[in-house]
Amino acid sequence: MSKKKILSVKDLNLIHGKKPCGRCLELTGPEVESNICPVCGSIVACADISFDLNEGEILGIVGESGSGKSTIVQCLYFDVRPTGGEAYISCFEEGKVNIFSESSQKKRYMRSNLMGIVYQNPQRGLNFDFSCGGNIAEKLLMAGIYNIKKIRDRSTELLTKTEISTERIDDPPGNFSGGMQQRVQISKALANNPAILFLDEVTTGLDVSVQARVLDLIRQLQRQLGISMIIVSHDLRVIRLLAHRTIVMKNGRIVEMGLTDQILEDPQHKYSQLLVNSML
Amino acid sequence: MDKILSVSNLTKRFIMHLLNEKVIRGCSNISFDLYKGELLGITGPSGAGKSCILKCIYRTYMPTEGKILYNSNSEGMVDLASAPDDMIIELREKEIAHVTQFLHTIPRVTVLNLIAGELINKGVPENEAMLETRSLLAEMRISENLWDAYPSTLSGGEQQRINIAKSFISKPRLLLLDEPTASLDSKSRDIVVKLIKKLKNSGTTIIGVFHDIETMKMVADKVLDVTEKQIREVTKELVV
Amino acid sequence: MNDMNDVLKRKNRKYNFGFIDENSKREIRRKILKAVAIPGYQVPFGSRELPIARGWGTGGLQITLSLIGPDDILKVIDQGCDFSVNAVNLKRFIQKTTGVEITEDTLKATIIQTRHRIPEEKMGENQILVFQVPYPEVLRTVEPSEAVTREMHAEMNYSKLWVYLYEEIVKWGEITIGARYPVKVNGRYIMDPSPIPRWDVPKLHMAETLYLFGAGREKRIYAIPPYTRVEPLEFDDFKFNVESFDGKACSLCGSTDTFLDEIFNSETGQKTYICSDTSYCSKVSARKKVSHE
Repeated sequence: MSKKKILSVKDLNLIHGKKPCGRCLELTGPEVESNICPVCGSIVACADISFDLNEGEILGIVGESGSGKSTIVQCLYFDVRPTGGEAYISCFEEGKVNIFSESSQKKRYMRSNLMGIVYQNPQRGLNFDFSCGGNIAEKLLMAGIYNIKKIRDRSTELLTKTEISTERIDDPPGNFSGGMQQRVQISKALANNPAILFLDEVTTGLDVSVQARVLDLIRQLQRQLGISMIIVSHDLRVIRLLAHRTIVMKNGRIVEMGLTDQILEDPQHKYSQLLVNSML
Repeated sequence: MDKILSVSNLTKRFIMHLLNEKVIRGCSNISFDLYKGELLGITGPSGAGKSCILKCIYRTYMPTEGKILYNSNSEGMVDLASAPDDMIIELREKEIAHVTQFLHTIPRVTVLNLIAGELINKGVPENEAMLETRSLLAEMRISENLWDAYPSTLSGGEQQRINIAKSFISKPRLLLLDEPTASLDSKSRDIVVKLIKKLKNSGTTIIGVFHDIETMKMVADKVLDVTEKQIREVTKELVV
Repeated sequence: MNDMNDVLKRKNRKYNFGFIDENSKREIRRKILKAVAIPGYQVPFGSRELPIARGWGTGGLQITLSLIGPDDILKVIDQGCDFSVNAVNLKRFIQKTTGVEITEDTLKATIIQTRHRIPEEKMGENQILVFQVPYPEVLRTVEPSEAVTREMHAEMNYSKLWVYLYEEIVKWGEITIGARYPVKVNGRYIMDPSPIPRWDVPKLHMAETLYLFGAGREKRIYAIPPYTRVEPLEFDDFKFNVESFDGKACSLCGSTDTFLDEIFNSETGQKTYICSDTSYCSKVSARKKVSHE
């Protein structure tokens, strides 16, 4: 019965530093409350990261700023190159090939056909020189759809789904409010029906009513399309409403992983308890 | 009769790392068996760990000791105390439901969509799900003009009934009820009691914590007293 | 012994044959070979100083000078015309430093250096067409950084250019690019064909002639070898099309199947059309004259 794994991450790590001394991993982490190696000064952005993502599952990653939660997503979306570890995607080469060891063309293929991402900052996910429709078109063109009508139809469909007036399809995203920009980003990320969607602090910085609409949208999309998602957030309320399971991070490591309600009501690790008890 | 649940020596202790490793007792040495279609009521003074048992079974709490053997439809015998997270997620989606006193929902989802969503998640076609939801809401006497409202705008009692509807709609195999009638008036309570009975008759196995003995007597087949740690058959003389 | 003769010959000449020294020619030829081997790929080369300012056809000129031999017959055109100042200057310079024969006849020439046109007459396997290129980077309109465009080419990441075309269609109902229409070469690299009109783009596809492109200021050489697939970028539902001269004919030779230049008479307000390819135009006129006589 148990669901199919869509993504499997093993021992992922990313160490920033010219010459890691080799002891960086043992000398950093939540026990010493630091991710800076005392010997060589290298920064361990994340280490020993292993987890699975199942089909249709929403996995939350929480932790304070600098705990390495965004790093995981950035590694998986190939924005940064990890220094070690493996990851497998079930719909790429039958899940037998470590995606980090692939060529940049193959990585681009995965990015444009299997993955979508929504960044906290829309400037990062959208090209402000293009129109809103052009941004969505880019994803479709990347996947080899060279048909203006099909592109227009799909963009219109996505904008409707994300509640953006289709009359504004040819406006540049710079003319949009923050919440709308975020929804354009979601449209773009969804354009090719990705198998995995990464959401990096998507509601941070939005006002509450807009936040609610974005959350509702994400939940609906998950329900209707069954997309697997990884949601990075420091906001436990967002995680509570969306995530099936949650990873708690601290100083670049996973300190606890479990069912979201269990993490929130019965946190085991000292840091998780601190995090939950600090919740408003 | 099929044994659905067999709990043995279930114990939960919380270790508060931030309070000098203080240990708080949740529940200890709870054992009982439950058969298909039975309703077990849990009683005991407040703070005795009644809700704790439900939460351990639902795995919102990680049990410290003991076994929770659940005879599942799809997986055979599963120890809920130690089953992997994704299996628990699967069971929650298909077989086990938990009704708490609080309704956590995403803002801006209407009552109708919230409840129908439970069915749609299980693959029921949308129009069929809507139809079923409407008839359940009608049966629960939830006023029709609330159907398209957002749950956060409703009163406590209304929210409570929405919460119950949300769990009942998908006819779970094992239902955990945590004070489902706490904030309801007697009329609403009667409706809920009727529903519980109906669900029980259709084969759902239920464990319930009730705030009043009256309600419990109406629906329970047997009672577990947390302090005595004994199971008793429900009789007219049951008093606490 | 040959070497000795060469040295003696050279002593009597003020410049090396073809102005550029032999080592530099060799480098340029190597780069041309690489360009031919990777159709559409821009090969960087050490653009040499010439007695002509960069931006005036020095890229094409260096290719021509590196390839030309004493037996070659040269034609130089500027937007189809053999007699414009730029064409004449380049022609004179090459003749002075090589002594080769000059022609205006497309079919007679072995090397044709051109700016912004492909001759109307079909060229053959024994000919080379050298293009002068002002902006070799097709992606420059959508990406300012050279480092990034190189990476985009390497990864075949052309989506930004495609979005540019998409936005053109959304804004104007068609792709408004007149000259420099982007083409995909051999199914791999997208290339700037130099500012030739759309009219000439189909001539790039499966041509018998070797096409060489030189950008002197930008220091790039690229090529389309004979019989190479060259496809203009187009959408399924917005196809590439060439300029239409429906109902128009050359006022000099009467041709209706050539690329026409519009001549506007400001006194009479009349518009007339003449062939952009002047030598072809006079050829047709002469032929008609003969048949009349």
